[in-house]
Amino acid sequence: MRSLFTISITALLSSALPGVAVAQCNGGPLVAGHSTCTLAVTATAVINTVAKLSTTSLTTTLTAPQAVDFGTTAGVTTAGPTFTVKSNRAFALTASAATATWTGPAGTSKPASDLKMKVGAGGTIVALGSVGASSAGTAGTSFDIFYNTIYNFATDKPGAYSLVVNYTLTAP
Amino acid sequence: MKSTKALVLTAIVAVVTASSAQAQLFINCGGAGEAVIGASSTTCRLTNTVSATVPTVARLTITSLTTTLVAPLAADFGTAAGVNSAGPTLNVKANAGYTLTASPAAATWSGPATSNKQATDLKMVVNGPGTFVPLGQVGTSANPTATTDYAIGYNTVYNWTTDIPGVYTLVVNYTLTAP
Repeated sequence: MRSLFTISITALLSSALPGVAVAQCNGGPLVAGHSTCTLAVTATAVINTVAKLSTTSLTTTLTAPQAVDFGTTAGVTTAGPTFTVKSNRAFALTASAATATWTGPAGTSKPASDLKMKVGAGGTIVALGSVGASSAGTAGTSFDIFYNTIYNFATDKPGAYSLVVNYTLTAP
Repeated sequence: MKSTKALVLTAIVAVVTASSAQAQLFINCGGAGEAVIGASSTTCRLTNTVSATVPTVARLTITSLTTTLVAPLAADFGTAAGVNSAGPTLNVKANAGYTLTASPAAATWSGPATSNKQATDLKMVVNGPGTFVPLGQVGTSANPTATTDYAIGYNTVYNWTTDIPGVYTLVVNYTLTAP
């Protein structure tokens, strides 16, 4: 009923004032002689928690060990990939071995723990674990990974070995 | 007028829609050319496959590069028993099967002029006590070893007619092979 009434009033004014533009504001008064009206529109956006993880490479070929590298705790260090995190909130990036042992020649059982890592060239070699974390968002934080591999005479028979390392980004 | 009304309606719809929405968690893994093997609403995962090629490696070390044999006495000449001397200990580390052998570098000892002492006058025993045998195989294994020691003992036979007084030397080669 009300809408019908509004339409009828609008029609009346239009006919009574030919050539005068009339704007209609929702629920507001109509003012003859004014061609515009202003409405306040509230725009609301929902920003989700978003994060992005990218890497420079999905594979890393380790430096081939020499005889002197076997049986030492120093291991062999190889430059790995760089991971970049973009996040609009706190995040944590971790590395973990996908399996308990490397895939290798028949009869081998090279422990995944033989692969260690450090973050940044000057970092400390540690077991796979926390790569980095932040309590705030970041437009782009890079983590340079270096691997350190231990070799053992008794267990590391000649051949090709591989180990999948999972890098997991979480938003706590 | 029509366009103004449409704007109003659109705005109202937008406000209502936004008010009913809830914040969600989206994590986008990787970019072009990157594999994503797992993603959920709270985590994302990229993998890095680490590959290593392990060659056949072995190490051979020795406690001493020289051995001074026990000086023989008159009673030691002309006997098959010879004179025993402790030799070096060799250590093998290998990530595959191996064989360690000993062999004289020359057929005869270096010695005084006109001497012609045979290399076969030097025998050995491995991880004695045991029977002295001609230089040859020291040890072998079909499996890798983190560390295996071979203690060498020498036995030297002396002869009245060939071993004239003087200083004698014989180089013994120890060779590690991976069969």
